[in-house]
Amino acid sequence: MRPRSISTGVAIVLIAAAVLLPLVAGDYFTAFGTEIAITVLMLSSYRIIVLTGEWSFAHVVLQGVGAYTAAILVKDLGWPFPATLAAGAAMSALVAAILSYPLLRMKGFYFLMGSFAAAEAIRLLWRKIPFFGGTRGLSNIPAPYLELGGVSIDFGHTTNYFYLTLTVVICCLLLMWWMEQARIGGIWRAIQQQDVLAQSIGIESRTYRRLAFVIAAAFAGIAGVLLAYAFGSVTANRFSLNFALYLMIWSIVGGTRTFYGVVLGGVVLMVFDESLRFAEELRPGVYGLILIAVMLFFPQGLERLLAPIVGGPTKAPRRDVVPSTRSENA
Amino acid sequence: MQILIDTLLNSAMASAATALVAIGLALVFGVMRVENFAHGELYMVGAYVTWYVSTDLQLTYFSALVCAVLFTALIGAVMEVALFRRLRSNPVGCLIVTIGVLLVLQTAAVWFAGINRTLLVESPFPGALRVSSFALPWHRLFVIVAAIVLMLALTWLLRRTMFGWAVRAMAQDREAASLQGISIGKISIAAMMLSAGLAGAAGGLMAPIVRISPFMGQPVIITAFIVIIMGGLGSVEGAIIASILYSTFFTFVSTYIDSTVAAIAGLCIMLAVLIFMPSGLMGRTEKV
Amino acid sequence: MLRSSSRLTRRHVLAAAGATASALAMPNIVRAADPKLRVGALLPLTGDLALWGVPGKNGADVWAARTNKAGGIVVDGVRHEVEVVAFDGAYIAEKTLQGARSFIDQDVKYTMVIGGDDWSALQDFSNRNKVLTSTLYVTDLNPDAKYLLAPVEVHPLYFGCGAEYLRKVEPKVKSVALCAQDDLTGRVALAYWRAGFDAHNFDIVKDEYFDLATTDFAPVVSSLLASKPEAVCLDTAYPSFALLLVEQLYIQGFKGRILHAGLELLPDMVKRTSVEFMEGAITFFPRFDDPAISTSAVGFPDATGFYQDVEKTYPGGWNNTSWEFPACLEVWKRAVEAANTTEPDALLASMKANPPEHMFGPAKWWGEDLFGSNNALVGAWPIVVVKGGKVDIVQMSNQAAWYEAHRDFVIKRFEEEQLMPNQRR
Repeated sequence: MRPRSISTGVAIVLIAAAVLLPLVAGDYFTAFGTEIAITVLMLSSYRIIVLTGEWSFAHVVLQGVGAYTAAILVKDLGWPFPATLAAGAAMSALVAAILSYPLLRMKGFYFLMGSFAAAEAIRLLWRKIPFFGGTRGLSNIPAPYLELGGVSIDFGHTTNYFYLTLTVVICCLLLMWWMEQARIGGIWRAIQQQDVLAQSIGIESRTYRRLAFVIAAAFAGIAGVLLAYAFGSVTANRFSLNFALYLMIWSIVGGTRTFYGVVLGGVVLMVFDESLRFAEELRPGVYGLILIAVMLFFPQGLERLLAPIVGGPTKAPRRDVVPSTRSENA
Repeated sequence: MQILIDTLLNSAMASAATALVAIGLALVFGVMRVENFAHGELYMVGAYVTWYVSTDLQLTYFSALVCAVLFTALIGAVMEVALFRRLRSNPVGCLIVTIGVLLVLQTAAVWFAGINRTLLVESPFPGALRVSSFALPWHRLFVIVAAIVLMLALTWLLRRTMFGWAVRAMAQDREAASLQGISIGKISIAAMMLSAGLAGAAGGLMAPIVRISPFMGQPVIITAFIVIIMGGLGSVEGAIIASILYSTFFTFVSTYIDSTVAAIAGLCIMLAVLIFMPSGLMGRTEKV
Repeated sequence: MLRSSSRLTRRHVLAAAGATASALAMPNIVRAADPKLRVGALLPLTGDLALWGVPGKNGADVWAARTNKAGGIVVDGVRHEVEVVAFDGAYIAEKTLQGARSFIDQDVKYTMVIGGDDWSALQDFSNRNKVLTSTLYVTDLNPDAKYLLAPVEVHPLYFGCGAEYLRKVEPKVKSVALCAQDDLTGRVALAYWRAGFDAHNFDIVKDEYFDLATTDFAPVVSSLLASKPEAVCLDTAYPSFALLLVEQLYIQGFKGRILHAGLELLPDMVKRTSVEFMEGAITFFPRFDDPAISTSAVGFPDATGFYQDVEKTYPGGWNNTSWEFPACLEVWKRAVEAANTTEPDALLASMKANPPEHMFGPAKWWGEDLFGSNNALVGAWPIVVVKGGKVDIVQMSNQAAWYEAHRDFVIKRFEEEQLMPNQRR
């Protein structure tokens, strides 16, 4: 069987498993499934930035932009769910586009710290400005409700909301997968591998890096909207540096080389994280040890272990798989 | 008038505290190109060791301080040999393992001393220097003096010794330095031990005047990163100057306006430096 | 809600895990058919606020052990043991919500949270699933929170009485300065203090919030003292912040009374400053190593013995939350025994009809005027003053009466901070 058909098979099995989840699991695991789906969307959109060779600390705050946008629109103006979804994505993309002008002048570690500074400043402003609910954030966000030709669905129910999230996330994943197969995905890879080379064959690298940053932000915005409805509240603390660190850790531990790797990595890690619960106060330390072990023994992430199954690119692995953070500055 | 002088005294103290942490971070970045996110936790470990040795083992504060430096230097050596050396070709890998080390050290502190214990270190210099209505506690004065001495010593070490020459050579061009016969491995261990030891010393010095907790390193590391970016990544002198400028600015803004504004302004300054002056105050322009 | 028993719930998974890995000593192991009543500690066990969460959980465990030894909880003539299950909510809304879901699977009858950030995501879930919950922040109450109770501490209501007491003992003091960290805890506390200061003719000469990431409190204190206050209010700065603020006040030569809700780290404050400096500080939490505590904490069985058990099991781990969460449990236990049920609606109705005894004596259900909900069990609350490096109860105060006499001041100050239920975003 060709790798392509195997991976399609794996995808179908995964989706089927997800669809069946609420039928076999209680509310706790169904809601947990919603969280996994949102995290997978965050990870796979983060991977678009990583493809261009950068690590960003701003992605989680851009998710927050989507969440705040949706919360304000639905609470103040009563917009329906699909409209807030689009608005959240658009607002995140807009903020990312503005940020990209200063940030994309930087690379590597400078970009990482620059993205942190910009994101943290935005987050502190949310806490400072009463319009965004100040330190308390925004709460009592009404769950989506569908009333169509006699059928009414209350997405406040865990199972219903899980299916809604799953549908949105799968659509987003398909869109991202399609983009990566298209020419633009190849260009992003080219930029990561050899910036100078890419420019010499006529690729204006900054334009494409900007495009990647903005597109990734739009998907993060969608993940933010989903998050806002899932928990009915938005607080600035949810988008702090800690969460940005964990996003980065997960994408590295899971691996960012293949599209499937990041999805599987997200699922495996969330489940793993949950199973660590017994360790209570010692949980972060266990996490740290795993992180160190993965970096030492599987520097390309756990997806390497899965690669034979899902059939990622079979090319010989590059030496410098993880993009360099040498302190270069454009 | 009172508030102005108070604020100047506060700025001096804040500058010393920031510089003590930032110089080690700048050093290890300069030599090894490693962004050590666990540096704040080394500072935390320094404070814990100082507490443990001076209270549980009942030794003097100064022997506790020495133990703190030795212990953190040891952790530094282990980090270099066990982690950074094996990830030389993978800079992001180094950054990630430092986050792993950060989590492990924090958890170790929770496990070692509990989360709710109050750990107090007695200063060998109680009381305060009082001039008219101003008060400067002796221990704070001691920290400021110790910081100045340590910074002078480090500058001398980097400028006037063979070790310093090797460190500067490595910071400029690792391959060329290696061709000159400099042992990359040895210098890296020495630099990492020195950097970690400085963090430990900072933790030990600050232990009697801050609250010792497993999470005390987190806010410190962010300030330290802002400062070394302002100073020019990898430049120890730049880190010292930037520490003074940033801490003074921050202290004045938080006194006269408010500390959230100061935090936002600090982040904006860092962003501006990154955009308009990417090599910082003292950094060299890096080649691509 | 329909829950078929064939479904895989957290309880089943935990039970399966327990069968295979019982050596791991998982704390949440649950056996399917035991008659135990489960109560949930949904508290931060990791991170900065573990400082409140861990002692709270430990205290609840000790309370459960003592209650079981004394015969457990009697419902309809049947004795039940009580068991505390814990979930690390990390003081993050979504983790807390996750915990509430796991509690449903474990058939938890009563859930405890700190209040504030962790409640914000819980409200809708609590209404849908009838999750009877206790908070320490009375400001979490609102007309839509049907199953939320504030059964013990009604932070910040005691501050009004604090201001009244300050006026009584310091008739000449005019100027006060206020500061707290910039979050809900700080803003709610300072808003109420401001109302208290307005009502008792103090001038607020300085009023500021500092950032949560602040490490150096010297600048904060310099700007407080620049306004020459005669008293300084630090409510409700988190314990570690309060310690550093107090130390700076000492260094920078402040002379006057300090006001702070808990003074959790008072022994350290005394060490870092002096016995004389802390003398007269006004606070609101009595110490439990005082043998007289049993006479004031009448709503809590053998407070002294409880304190000694906690100290024996968790040496050095005592904190105000060590008794507050057990006190929440005690109120619930009394209500359950009176109502003979743990079913939330029936229990609530019975509790409302016959208010259970509060930690510090008789109490009534209150809060409609300010929060649109009468779910706060408000009784007397002690005013405590530092004497010789230790705290002593100086008087019991009537929080509801103070509010009723000065409600306009409170509403004005609450509106300023956008804290009224109709201003909630």
